[in-house]
Amino acid sequence: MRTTMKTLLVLVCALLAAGIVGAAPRTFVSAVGSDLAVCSFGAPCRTFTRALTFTDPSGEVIALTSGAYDPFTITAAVAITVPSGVHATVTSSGANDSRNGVTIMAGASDVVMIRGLEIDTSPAVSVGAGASGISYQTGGHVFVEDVTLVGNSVGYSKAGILAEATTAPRRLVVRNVVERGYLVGLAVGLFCCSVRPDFVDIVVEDSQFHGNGYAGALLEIKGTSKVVIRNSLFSGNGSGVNGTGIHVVRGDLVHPGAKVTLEDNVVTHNTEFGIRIVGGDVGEPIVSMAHNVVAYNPTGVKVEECPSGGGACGGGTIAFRMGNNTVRENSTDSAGPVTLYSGF
Amino acid sequence: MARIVCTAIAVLSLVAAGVVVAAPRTFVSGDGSDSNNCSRDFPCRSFTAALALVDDGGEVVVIDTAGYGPMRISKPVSIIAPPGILAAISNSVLSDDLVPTAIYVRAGPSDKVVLRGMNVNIQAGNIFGVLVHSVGTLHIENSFFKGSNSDLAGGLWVDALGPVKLFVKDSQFRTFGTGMALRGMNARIDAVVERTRIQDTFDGVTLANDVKALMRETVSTGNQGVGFAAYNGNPSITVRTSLILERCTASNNGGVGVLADPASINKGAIVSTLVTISNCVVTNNGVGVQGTTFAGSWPAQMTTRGNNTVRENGTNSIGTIVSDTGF
Repeated sequence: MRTTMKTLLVLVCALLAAGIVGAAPRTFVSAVGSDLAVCSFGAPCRTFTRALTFTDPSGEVIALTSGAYDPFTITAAVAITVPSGVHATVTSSGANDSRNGVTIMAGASDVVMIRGLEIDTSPAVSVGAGASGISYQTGGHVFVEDVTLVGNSVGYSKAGILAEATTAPRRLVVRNVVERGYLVGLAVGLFCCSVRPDFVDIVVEDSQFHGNGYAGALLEIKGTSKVVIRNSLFSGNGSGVNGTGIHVVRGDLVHPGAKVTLEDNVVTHNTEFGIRIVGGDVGEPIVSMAHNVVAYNPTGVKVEECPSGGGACGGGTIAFRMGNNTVRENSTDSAGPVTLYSGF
Repeated sequence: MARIVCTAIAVLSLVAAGVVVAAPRTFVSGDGSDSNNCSRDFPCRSFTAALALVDDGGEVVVIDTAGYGPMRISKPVSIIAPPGILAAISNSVLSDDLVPTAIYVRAGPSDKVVLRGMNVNIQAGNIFGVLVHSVGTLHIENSFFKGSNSDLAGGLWVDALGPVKLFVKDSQFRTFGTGMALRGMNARIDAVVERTRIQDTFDGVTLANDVKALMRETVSTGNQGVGFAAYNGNPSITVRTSLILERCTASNNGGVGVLADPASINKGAIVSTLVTISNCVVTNNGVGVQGTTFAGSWPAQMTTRGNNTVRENGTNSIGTIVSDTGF
């Protein structure tokens, strides 16, 4: 009894010393903070996990100092912000750490923003560790901006950004992201599910995806999804002969494939295909290409209206070009049917 | 007794500065000391000290603005100065072949090196900005390199013994002999350069031999000689020097804005050097664009997508220019 009282007293004193614990619209983390603190500016916490528990819905967690931070999970609307001048890295703890850098399991209407963070899961080198940089499982609207994602290029971490939810997620915006060293840079539907993920839209802008084991982007999505990728770089993907810059695959047995617009991208130095578009009997995607540069790949643009591995084939038109793409200096610039469309 | 006291002092010193062991992440600060262990709480003063204590594949993080000295990089590592913090370098180390350079990259053939937020300001002497002799992949991001106006030094000079993948973005190279020289003399260089500026050098960007480079939204301006030039002296007829420029600007250069330079050796009918320009602006140069100037062997080919602005040069175009209508 006396010991319990004493412990309680110490705890209360610690709380008083660190400020009073209560939810706040804005909380703070620091590499020299403590999770016994209240996550205020004057008494920052050490981990995002702790700060998130003290943050109001739709509030903000701000990193104050450069340093390493533990992986964390977001379950509500929040903004994670790393300001200029701070290099905050969320990093795996070791070779067998299978945690994603950031896992998003928010509500269907929650808005989640991640800005300025570096996520480094490269320490997780064990085969099967399977960590992704950001795993978007549920949430309403997710913004990933000015973020660097680093995989290990060895055992190949899973995906830089893994969007795998089959229900509820609505929108994903990726802007000014630098990603490298995962199996796939942006993976939508790759590692899940008989039913493909369902996005209202995905927008990728001004980003770079390179040095991944298989692909810069792999899009395997339902037809309700509208994907726009613009002004981005997909380069150096593929650990051997299998490497693709942007790979668009048909949807599932029930849903048609996504509508994908590729505008102003550079797709180069990948080990097999620059852009690969695969159809089938059902679930065919529709891909439109304008102003892209596709160069120095074994095959620049590969279109398979019927899957090369066999199977049923509808044979519909799935790839369109505007006539203003630069597709040059590939061993084979284009293979498969691509239909020309005119501008407006 | 004296030995015990000395040991105790040494132990206390280690505790005070942190125990010195390698770490996945080390730090430098203007208030740091190279006697420290380069942790967040006990940062080092120089890049060289922090590099010695960082794990392979780790990061050296700059905490505040200061000069951190030149460095030799011999392992996979990221050197990161976040936005708003200036990591200055104005001195040099010597490369293995005794060339003075602010940053020397001599890493393993599959090593990945990242330089982000570097600020190199060479005040005097024939000192290179970044000299690369071996690395698997090199990323240069958000960095600034200024030379001393020496014609003998390069801003970024890649002359590697093995294949190199090079990514440069949002960077500047000024007042060097050559702003950016990619020399595939010994092995292939695959390069992507984006939103980068090369200015007031002797030659802006030069590519030689086994190089496949794609440059986008990159400016080469105010150079005494060429803006962008590709050249092939490789005796193998299967090796082509290739440069693709998309939305680039070559302006105010004394020589040729964009040059596909014929090989110095006879390769028969094989195109030895191929430059493709698309959506570019080429203006106010001595010559705008130049392709093959004579028939016969060792041809170099300049290809235009027909969407470029080539105007107000002394001579807008010399030699054969090939059209590509696009895909």
